[in-house]
This record gives sequence, structure tokens and C-alpha cells, in this order.
Amino acid sequence: MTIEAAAIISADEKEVLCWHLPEGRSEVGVPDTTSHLLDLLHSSQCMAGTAHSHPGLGVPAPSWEDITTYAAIDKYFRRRFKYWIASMDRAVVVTWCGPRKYDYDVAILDEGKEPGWVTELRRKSQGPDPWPYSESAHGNE
Amino acid sequence: MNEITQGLAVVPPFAVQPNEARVIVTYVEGDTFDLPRPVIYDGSSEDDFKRWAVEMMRGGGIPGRPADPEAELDDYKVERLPRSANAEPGQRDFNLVLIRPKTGYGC
Repeated sequence: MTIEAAAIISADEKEVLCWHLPEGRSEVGVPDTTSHLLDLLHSSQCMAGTAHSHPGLGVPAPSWEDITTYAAIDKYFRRRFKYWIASMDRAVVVTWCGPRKYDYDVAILDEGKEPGWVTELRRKSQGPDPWPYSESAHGNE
Repeated sequence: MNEITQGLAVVPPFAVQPNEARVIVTYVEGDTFDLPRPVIYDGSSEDDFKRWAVEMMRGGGIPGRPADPEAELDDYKVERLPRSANAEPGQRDFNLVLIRPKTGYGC
């Protein structure tokens, strides 16, 4: 079983600044939490954007829930961020292309050219079986 | 003027009745504000809270904040924090509504 996970990605796109693994995440979503907004606030000056996982295989596509969250974050910070989505074998990066607020473009990342943290994002998207893990490092994990 | 902004030229500190709520909007970075008077809490929907806030933002009903005809809260989340009937002194004893950017992801 896979469950969605999310993270805030550093400005150089090479590191995870903060994992977002709240209670209640599931195979269909990561719930809305105030703590994620606070983490975004703390990271806004040094982040490129956010990433989250989708269960299953193949090229993932942003859901309406995703797109409206991207629009909300971009509006709040008055900046355009990047938003990665990773399935268990492919990844995309979603960016605003305009002109309307929900106009986001999806670019497929070449296999083998994914950022290194995608592997860890996938690992954290596994349910308690078969890879048990315990997180305690950052705020809302 | 509309039903919300009417009579708000002077904004005194306000008391919040048990069936009302204080509303705080976290709009954009560095721009968080209270609605200048309480709104009806019981029976109001999330869309009601957002609609009232947008009406005030567009109409210039927020003290210290110019009218913003483009204001919208479409992608914002409403959190309802009910009052505690047994609040101790110093604890929040009124209903609170927070409107902030949504942060959920879903497939």
C-alpha cells in the first residue's frame, strides 16, 4: 500500500527542507493542515516549491485539489513556485504558465534525471508494511 | 455598502456573543486582518464566512486596508474553532473562524 507524502524543497532543488507527513494522510491525499502553512512560511525565502507523491505507477497528473492548493500558495506568497509530483516510478514538475490562475503546466521529468530526494519521497509513501518507519525530526511529522 | 459593511465607519473593540464569531483572514504574506465586527457563527457555512469577508475586502470595509475589487478567497480554507463553554480566565471564550490558504494535496 502507498500513502501520499509531501515535502518542502530547497531553492537549489536538491534537498528536502521539511517533510510533511501529517496524521490522516492516505492513498488519496495529504490533509490540509495549518502546520504545513507554517512550515511554508518558515521556508518561503529558501524554497523552490513543494513535492508530494501519488500512489501507483505511471506519469502522475495534478488533481484539482493539487492545483487549487498551488494557486493558494502562489497567491499567498505572491510568488510562483515549482510543484513536483512523484508516482512510484515517474515524476513531473508543475508550474504556473498563465494567464489564468489555474493554468499550470506539467513537465515530465526524464527517468534518471529526477532529483535525489524523490527516492526518499517514495520511501516515505510506503505504508507501515513492508517498510516500517518512525519520524520525529520536524514539527508535524 | 452592504449588510456587512453598513455601520462600520467607526470600529470599536467588539464583544462576541455566543452565537457569533470573530473572523481572522490570513490573506497574503504580511496581510492578516480581523473582520471589524463579529459575524453570525451558528448556522453559517464556510461559503458564508468567505463571502462576507470578500464583500468587506472588496468594499473597503476592513480598517486600514484599501478596497480591493479583485479580492477573492476561492482557494482558501475555513477553520471553525468553537468556543469552550467552560473557558478559564485568559482562555478564548468566543467562537473563532480562521480563513487561510488551503494546503491539502489529493489525487
